[in-house]
Amino acid sequence: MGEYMICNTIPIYQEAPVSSELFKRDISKILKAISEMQVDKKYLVVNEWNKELMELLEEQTDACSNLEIITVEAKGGFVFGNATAVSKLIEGEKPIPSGMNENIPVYSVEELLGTDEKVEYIENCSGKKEVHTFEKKIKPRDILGKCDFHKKFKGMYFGYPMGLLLSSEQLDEEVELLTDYVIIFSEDDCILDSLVNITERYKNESCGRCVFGYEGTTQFYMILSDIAQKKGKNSDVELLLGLCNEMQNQSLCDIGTVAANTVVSAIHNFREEIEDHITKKICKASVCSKFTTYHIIADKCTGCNECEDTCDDDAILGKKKFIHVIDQDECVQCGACVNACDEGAIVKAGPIKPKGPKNPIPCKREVK
Amino acid sequence: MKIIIDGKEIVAEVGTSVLRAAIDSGVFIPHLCDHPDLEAVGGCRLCSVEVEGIEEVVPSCKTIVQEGMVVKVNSPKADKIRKMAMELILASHPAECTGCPKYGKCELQSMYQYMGVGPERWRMKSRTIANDDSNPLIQHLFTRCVRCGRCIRACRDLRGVKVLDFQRTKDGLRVGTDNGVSLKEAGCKFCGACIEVCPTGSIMDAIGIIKEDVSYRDSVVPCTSACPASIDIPRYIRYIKDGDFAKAIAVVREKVPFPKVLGSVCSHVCEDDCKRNELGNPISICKLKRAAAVHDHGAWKKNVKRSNPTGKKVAVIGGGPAGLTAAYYLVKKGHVVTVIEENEKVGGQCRYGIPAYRLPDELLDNEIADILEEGVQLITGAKADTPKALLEKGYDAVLVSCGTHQGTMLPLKGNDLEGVYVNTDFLKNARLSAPLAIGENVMVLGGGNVAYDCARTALRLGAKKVYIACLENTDQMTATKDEIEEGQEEGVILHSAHSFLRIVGDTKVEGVELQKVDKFYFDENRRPVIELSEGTKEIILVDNVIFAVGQKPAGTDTMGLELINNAYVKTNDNMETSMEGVFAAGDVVTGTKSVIIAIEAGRKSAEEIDKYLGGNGDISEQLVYKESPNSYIGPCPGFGDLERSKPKLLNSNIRKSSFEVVEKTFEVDTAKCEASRCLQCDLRLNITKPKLWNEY
Repeated sequence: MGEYMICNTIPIYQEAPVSSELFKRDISKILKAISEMQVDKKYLVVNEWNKELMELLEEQTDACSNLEIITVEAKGGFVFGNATAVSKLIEGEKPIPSGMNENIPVYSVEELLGTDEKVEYIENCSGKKEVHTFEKKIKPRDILGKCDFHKKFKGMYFGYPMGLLLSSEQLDEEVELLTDYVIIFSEDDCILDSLVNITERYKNESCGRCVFGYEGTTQFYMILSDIAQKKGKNSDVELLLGLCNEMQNQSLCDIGTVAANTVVSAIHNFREEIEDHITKKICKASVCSKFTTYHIIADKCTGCNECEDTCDDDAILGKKKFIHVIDQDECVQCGACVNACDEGAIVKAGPIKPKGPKNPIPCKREVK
Repeated sequence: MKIIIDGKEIVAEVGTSVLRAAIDSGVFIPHLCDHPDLEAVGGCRLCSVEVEGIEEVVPSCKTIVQEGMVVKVNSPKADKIRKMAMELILASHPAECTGCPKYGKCELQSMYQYMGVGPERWRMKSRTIANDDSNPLIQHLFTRCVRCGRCIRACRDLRGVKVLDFQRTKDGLRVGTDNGVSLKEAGCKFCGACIEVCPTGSIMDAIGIIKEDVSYRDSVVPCTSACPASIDIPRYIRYIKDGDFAKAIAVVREKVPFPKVLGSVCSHVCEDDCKRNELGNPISICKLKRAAAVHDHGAWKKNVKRSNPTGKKVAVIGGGPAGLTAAYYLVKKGHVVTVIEENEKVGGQCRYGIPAYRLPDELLDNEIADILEEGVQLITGAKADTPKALLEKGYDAVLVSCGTHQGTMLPLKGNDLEGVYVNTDFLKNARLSAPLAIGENVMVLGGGNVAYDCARTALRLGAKKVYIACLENTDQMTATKDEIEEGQEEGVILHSAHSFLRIVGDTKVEGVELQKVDKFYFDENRRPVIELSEGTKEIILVDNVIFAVGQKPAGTDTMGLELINNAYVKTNDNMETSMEGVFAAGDVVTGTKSVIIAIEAGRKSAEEIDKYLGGNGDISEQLVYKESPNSYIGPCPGFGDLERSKPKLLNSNIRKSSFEVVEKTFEVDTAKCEASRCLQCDLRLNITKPKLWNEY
């Protein structure tokens, strides 16, 4: 008979609460599975704010009779995917990892249910969220097929603990679904910009206990942000790969390792797009604001002066009935003028810039 | 077992880590998050090494030695990881070292200098956190934190206090208390373990705690440092906390032979320096000593160190605390010691100066008995010969420790009237149960504890109204707060900030003329300046005046020794007087001081005389086995606000009519509770100090 077991219902991603939702759905099944386990001590980790769940547990008091319930404040977190961290909770300590997942009897809700299926929360960059159930082993193309996604596919990110950012070339390579959270990117998305957000998440989720995990994810975020801010250096990509290489082996827990895997796969699959930001100073998707410019289409401008009034940085030249011109040296790419223009005369441009007068000239168009 | 590090065979204990084994055998491997007293975590990776048979580089702190293990520190693979780890740490650490108070003592600084790396190829940005000096005793400067977690492990695992932890904030991860409350609110025990293990300057003693001019130990344990006799205070307070009074008193007795006397009347300067002052009130050290001393059953006696007889003879002139202490230690060093005391009994000021309601005879006799038991010979009621005569009589050395038994009078008009007394005569006669006659109204002149001794004694002798007049205002008075308070309770009328102009009367005292003092201070030449307030003269009618304005040695002028101010015996650093073989110690040298200072002078003179007589001068003793204290002090919510226990006092009405001891001894539970307030500042000294690489 083993010493103890812990069932953890806290999801890794708060926005993808697979564990807590499944627990709610199949509470009696899960409690039964727990009660059948031959161990001395049993613990159930639940979120203290989840009233619905707490009420359900109270109804099931019989099944919970020898089950100690540990409530935590957190609604989610990468550390809840690490058994060394979760096991700290039974000592009354914070869930801070002290190593990899090694032979610690911490079970997820899905493990206790023992299904071959995986529930996924899928997001695309326009913010649309979907929930689907897939076979555990699946080709990314089949995931894409089930989703309401009609743009041109660019990449797919599998969150912690998978740490994979794949391109269209790998859509037919089977993956084993371990994460609760997937993001699909289209040609409208910039992989670099997305990677900045992804690494920022890892930086914030890192427990801080080890240098490679914490300082490594911090460097990921700082270097990638710099590149996105037009401050990238030619050596940056190699620097990142060198760091990833050590992080994969030297991080104390898998959060650092997975972060490194993510960056490695992103660089491997999207190296050109990322490097273009450094060498060619362009953002192919026109997402990274430092690489985009705003322009006033001469034919559409009515010289109404609305844009000039809106600009906080006095970057728009012109006067009434004159075609306005944006001073690119002053413009900070805030985009406020786009919304101010009723004529739709102001556009954002990536590498290819529209032509127009250099200085304000009288309008050809009459104001309606 | 044996392992090989960089080709060098070293012997390692089973179960130790490769890092510890290497460090212990003098092979240096960089490391930062590892601390010899804390469980290894493997976070910093500075201790990375290659181990034959393992593909990836491993942290040596987390790798347990195995027979025949072959370890490479100087391998390119391990070196690369170590360097990258250090670069990453430095990238988020403030770049400037020179302004940091830990400069030169910083483990991080030492480590990166050793490794010769800098963070330049990374993005450098320190995580700024505002310095926090709002906590008593401990300051937090977390911008310098490298998140090694040593402080957290020390607080949680080593001490069990569990106040510090990693805290997630929007700006990243930092060390702190849960919910960001103050250390006091969090239940911190201010043991300083976090300070001790911090490798950088992130957690430090508050400014002013570590003093430049004293040793680190003295800064860290200020009570013992303040004690003239250097009693190991935290050690005995800990025994009291555990209820082990026998061991507590043995610790006290390792330094002083008068625990009960000191527990009653010590000036306890230790309490002034107690670090708990920063949290409120100090530990009641003096009263705890008394609580333990009443339970002294002499268990310490079996460990007393005694030397073989030397055949040398020493005469001690004056049996006060200094003389008796010297005699006690000299006898134990094998010399024959005779104490010559002019009075009927030994004890000095403890017997004839301090009133019985503070220090009763039985208690004093009891402790003197322990001294005599060692074989000190006494001649009482006899005036001693001059030191020269004693040497000629065959004594090999003489100690002059006859104190200051002559009260002084101010040159005041009327000081020769009938009914004018000096403190020493008044108090001594009261102690001898042959009190000097007093009327209904008495005025004591002076603002120190002795003035209160006289005033409170006068009340007990039947005076109806007792006044104290002194130049100082209440804040400047040298009398302790307790004394002023207790005196007030008993009815002493205080005229502080008053000058005495004259004593009124024809042949007998009829009154004292006082005038209010506007300002009283010392000028640049240290001469007193008194500015009087006009139109405030008044005459207070009294039957007696007692001068309590100081006292000086009596009879030193005929000793044939060089004197200072015609009264005090002049000595050098080794307590030798102008005459060879004659030493002096105590008030007769220093002027009236405290019992504890006299005892320490007694010890010092015993050392010097022993050396003079051919001994080694070592009078140190260990009366109880030095156990290593329990460092797992555990949590205690509200620890910082625990109130100082006060001893119970006899009702002031009963007090006034008898010489019964005023202050009750702490009950056992009160004593244990009071002792548990101790911060145990000494515990942190037991934490291993990691060596910097240049110390290998």
